[in-house]
Amino acid sequence: MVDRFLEALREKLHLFEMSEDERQDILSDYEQMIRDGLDKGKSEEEVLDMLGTPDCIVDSLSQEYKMKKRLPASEKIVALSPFVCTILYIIMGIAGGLWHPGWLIFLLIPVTAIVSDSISEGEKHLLTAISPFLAVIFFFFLGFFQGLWHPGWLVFFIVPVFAIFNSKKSLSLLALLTSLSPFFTLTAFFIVGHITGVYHPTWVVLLLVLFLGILHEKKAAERYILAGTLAFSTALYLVLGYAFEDWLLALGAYLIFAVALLATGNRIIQIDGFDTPLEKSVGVVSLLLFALIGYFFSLFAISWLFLLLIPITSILLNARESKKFTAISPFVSVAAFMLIGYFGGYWHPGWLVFLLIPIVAIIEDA
Amino acid sequence: MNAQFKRGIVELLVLKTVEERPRSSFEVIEVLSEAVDVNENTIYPILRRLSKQGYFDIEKDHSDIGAPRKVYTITKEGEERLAEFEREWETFLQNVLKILGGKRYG
Repeated sequence: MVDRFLEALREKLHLFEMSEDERQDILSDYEQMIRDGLDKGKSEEEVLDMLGTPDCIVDSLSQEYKMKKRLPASEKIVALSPFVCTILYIIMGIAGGLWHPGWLIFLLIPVTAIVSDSISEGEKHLLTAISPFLAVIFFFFLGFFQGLWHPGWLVFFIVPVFAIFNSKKSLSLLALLTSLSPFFTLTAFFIVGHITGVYHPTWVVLLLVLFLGILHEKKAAERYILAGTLAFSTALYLVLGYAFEDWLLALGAYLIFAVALLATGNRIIQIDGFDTPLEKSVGVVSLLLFALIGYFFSLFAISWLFLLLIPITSILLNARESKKFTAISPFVSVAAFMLIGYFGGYWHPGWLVFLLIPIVAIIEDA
Repeated sequence: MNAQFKRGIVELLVLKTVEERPRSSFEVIEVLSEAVDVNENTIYPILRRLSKQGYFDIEKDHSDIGAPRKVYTITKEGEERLAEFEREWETFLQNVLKILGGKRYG
């Protein structure tokens, strides 16, 4: 209850022109008052009743501080963006016949709003927020103009990659590499596979994820044994495969690694790339869903949407309470846009779902 | 009662409460809310403004466990302001009572 109160107060204080130090000072004063009240035997409810709601507090403070005014320039740009996009769309359509995929220009409307809002609010997750739009634009560009629908869908990996980069700055280099390794190895696997047609045995590159996971093992002896046997098994697998051209037999090389796993206790290797068990589970499940649905139903163009669950979970767990839905709205609208377009073929009017972003922001602000 | 007028009274009471002895924000709010019908959330902003105007010094009390507690102490300027305030208030009250008394008893 107290945390919610302080969080709500922090957000309300952002409405005023004051330095971050002053804001922190006010918050720490309220924290102290709450502590004092509790020390005097009052319940949390009584203390908070006594101090008033964050709205009342801010109302009283408003007589001492000026309300913040948003930069008029940024507001003007956001307000003008739908008109500018419409004009450009008409020009592209009439002059170049680019009605399709010229409609992609409308994606610039939510991008402009997100960029403008991020700049004025000092938001640090700008790249994560606009990554779905950049990915969609680049994906369609590759698809429509180059015919590279596959492996063009790999561009959607920038969504979780940016999310990991943005929210995991405190990670060690090894933990960061481990978190990013599924995306980089899959990209390498599909690009090499697409160019050379040699998906097999290119897949061994995916074992890098496991290898990096092993390096998190705290006991040095076990770490060296597992990493060494995995590297040796892989080398042996390749040698046997190429020498005898029997890749099924060559898989036997991994028995060495399996024995090492059993000998070291056959434990599940912990990867601390995600903060909470829920984030870890969502990370693993979304990757599995992405790969399985993509592979078995040939739906990689849509199954990547499961990857959006990674930043969405992170936002729901870590973002400020009153901004959660605004923060996840870009991801939800991209998912809705892709589903409407892919299954209904309504790419053209589908961009309207991006209006959800300003609508949610207005509702949440209100 | 007019909000501006009430704020003026609360300002006087905040100064007086801290003049009695150094107090924390919570103590000031507690004392005032027990004594008069006042909106508690108006007290802290006033306390903060008076500190900024130099009427209070803020000292940090490290005696308790946890973060140091802020304690407000009245300054010389604060005492002068309080004295001026009290004079104004007394004059005002006398005038008000004179009128009210005259009407009721005259």
